[in-house]
Amino acid sequence: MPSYTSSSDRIPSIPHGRIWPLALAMVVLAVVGVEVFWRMQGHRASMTDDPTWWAMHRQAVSQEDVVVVIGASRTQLGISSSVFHLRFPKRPLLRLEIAGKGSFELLQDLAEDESFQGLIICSVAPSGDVGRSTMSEYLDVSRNRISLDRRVNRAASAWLQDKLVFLSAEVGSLAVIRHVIDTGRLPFPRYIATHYDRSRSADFTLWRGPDSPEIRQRRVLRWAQKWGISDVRAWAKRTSQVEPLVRRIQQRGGNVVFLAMPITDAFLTMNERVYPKAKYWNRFAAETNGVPVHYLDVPAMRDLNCPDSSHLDERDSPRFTRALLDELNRRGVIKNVERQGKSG
Amino acid sequence: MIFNSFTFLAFFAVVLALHNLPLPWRWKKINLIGASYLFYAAWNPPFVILLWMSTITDWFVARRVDVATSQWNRRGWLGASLAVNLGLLGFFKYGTFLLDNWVALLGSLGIPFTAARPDIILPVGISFYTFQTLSYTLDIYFRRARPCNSFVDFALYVTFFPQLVAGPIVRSSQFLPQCSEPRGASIPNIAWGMMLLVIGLFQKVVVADGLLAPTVEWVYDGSWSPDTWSAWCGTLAFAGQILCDFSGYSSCAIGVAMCLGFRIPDNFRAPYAAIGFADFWRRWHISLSSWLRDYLYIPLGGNRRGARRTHVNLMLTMLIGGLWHGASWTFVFWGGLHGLYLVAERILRRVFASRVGPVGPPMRFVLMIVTFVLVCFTWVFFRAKTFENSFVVFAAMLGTTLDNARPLISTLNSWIVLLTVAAIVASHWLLRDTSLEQIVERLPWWLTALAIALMTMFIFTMPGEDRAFIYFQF
Repeated sequence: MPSYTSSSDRIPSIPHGRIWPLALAMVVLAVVGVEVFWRMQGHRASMTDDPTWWAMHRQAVSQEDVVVVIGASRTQLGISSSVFHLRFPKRPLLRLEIAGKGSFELLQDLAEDESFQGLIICSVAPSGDVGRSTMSEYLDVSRNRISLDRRVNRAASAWLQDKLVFLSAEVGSLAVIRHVIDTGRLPFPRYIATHYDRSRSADFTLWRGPDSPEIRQRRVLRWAQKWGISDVRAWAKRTSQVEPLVRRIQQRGGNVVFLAMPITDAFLTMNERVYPKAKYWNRFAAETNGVPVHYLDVPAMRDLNCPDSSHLDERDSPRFTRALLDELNRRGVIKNVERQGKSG
Repeated sequence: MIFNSFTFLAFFAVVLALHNLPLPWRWKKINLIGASYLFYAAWNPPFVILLWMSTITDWFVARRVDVATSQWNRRGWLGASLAVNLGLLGFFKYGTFLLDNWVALLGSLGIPFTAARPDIILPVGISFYTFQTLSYTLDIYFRRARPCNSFVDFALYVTFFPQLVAGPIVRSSQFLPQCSEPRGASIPNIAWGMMLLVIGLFQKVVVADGLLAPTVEWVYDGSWSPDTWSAWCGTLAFAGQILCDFSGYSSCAIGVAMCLGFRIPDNFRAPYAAIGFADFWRRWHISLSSWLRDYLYIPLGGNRRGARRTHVNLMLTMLIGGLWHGASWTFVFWGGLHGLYLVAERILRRVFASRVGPVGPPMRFVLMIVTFVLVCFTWVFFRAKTFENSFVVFAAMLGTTLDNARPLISTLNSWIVLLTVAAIVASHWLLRDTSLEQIVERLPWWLTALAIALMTMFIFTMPGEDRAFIYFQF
């Protein structure tokens, strides 16, 4: 009977010597052409993050002198890895933030991991740390063994995606076809790019979402309704559960920095109304054994602007990161001993 | 290690290079055995021990079966092979399932019993290499073959990496003769093998994962019940996904083996162009259906003991075939449905064969569509995780929806599914009585080059989710 996928008993009589060279030449030309085209359209390389890639970073927390950033999109966009590495070239930095998730569940996970003895920079936002969706999907992956094969493969694809624009999700072949059918035009460049180390950067000049003070107000209200619990007792209960975790990490020689990231405009107004700093942050900062850093308390951070009222632009994140490292140095949490002058 | 990975690309490049060095044939085979163990160990190294156990047991037992003089001894040695192979399969694949059912049975008898759930990891591909190894011993038991004289050849037969974890299930009579002589891959071999690899990856990465999988997941894994349209879209999408996922893997396996100079048999022959279910099973997962036919259906008596016994044999074979796919009653039900279809087809053929003459192409096309639609109904039980979920989708396909049913698929995605599945079915209809090789031979060579280039580009530019091949879990 003839075959469908192949009759492995015979090889078709075709000019293989011509087909493959032509096919390979077309692939090379197409790859170069597509890469150049998307770059000319303003697209940037961006890797596709997933629980496996996160878990691979999570499993590396036992490194000596490691600094781990946990939080959500604000730290992902606001803390610049390159500024950190310029100042601390030998100190490993792990970016374990997950957009849309709270920090405390991961803080607990790290506190229970006896191999971790480093410094945690933990983003704190009352809107995000009470009643937010859980991280179980990510933690489950990190608690299982990830095979060497999968690690190498994931690292290779992440590295390539970080370098080549045409491998980004939004300009994937099927994604583009779907987008063109849906909208009748090619996709606009995304304003957010995800990097190899899981940090992200936002170029808000590329932001094409609808924007106006009213829209921002509505968005903030939506966030507050979705995540917010404006009950200071629930917040106090949650933060009191954090303290034993901080002590546990400190007993092993580690430390925890609690960081309130900049927010501005409508989000700041709403945040002050629902989670006033005096009632929420200040009380927490007074009671914690960790190192609290609120952007409003640090002059170099205070006047930063968030274009969408909640996240920093990539042009501001280096400045914020330098201010943060300076503040941590001033508070004796992290010592600026290496190449401080160049980055500062 | 999966074919659609960078690690496989690097691995295969090294294996291919070593295989083409001017080394003695024995060393090349040892290189392939080492590569096969590495391929398997890349997933979970300790489970390589299972491969060793399977290899050593059947190597030893088959020789004993061959030299045993009494039927009692032959059966005893065969029993040992079955106990080891099916014991491993039973423990790793069905251990939790059996325990759950035992607890449920005791519970139904009013005996409260709770058991600690064993944390058993299913070794990838265990169903495939268990059946492959068993076929060797069974062939010797049935005196269809003689034991292999070379342990290296036998070890390569058990572990040959292209088809180790998801088939095709290769018979020793197909593979071992190829080990006796040096097999170098010619340029056409490598060129056509690479083309099959690209075609297989395109089926898997672009069609199965990129075009169809999201729709399947919305319908079968979401928290909302589908309306009738969504249930049909989800099920049609799964019909396309399972085909492209599995036949894609088979194409890759055949292509990779061909690059190394080995021929392994086809596993799919345009199955959605089947007219009737006997025809479907001659075209779908051929290496499994022929295994079940040769080592289960025929030993049970096949169709030699009257109509009623034939029907019982068919049902038993399909029920076991269903259970082979997974430790769940939904798979058994899926096999049972196919068994019923086969029995019904036999009855209908007997009744109508004498009254209806040969049918023309239009009627054949209608029968093909009827077969395809009925096969789609069975896929519901194959894909759904529970009976409850199966019946929700099944009922929705028949127009009965739950209160919380809603449209789950956008217009665009509905069109994507319909066009993709229509293209698959149409291509099967066109390929029903011809072969891919014949089609390629008829195409202008530059068009073949363009098709390969386009498929390669689509594969590279599909940054979708990392989905494993579906049949790895079986």
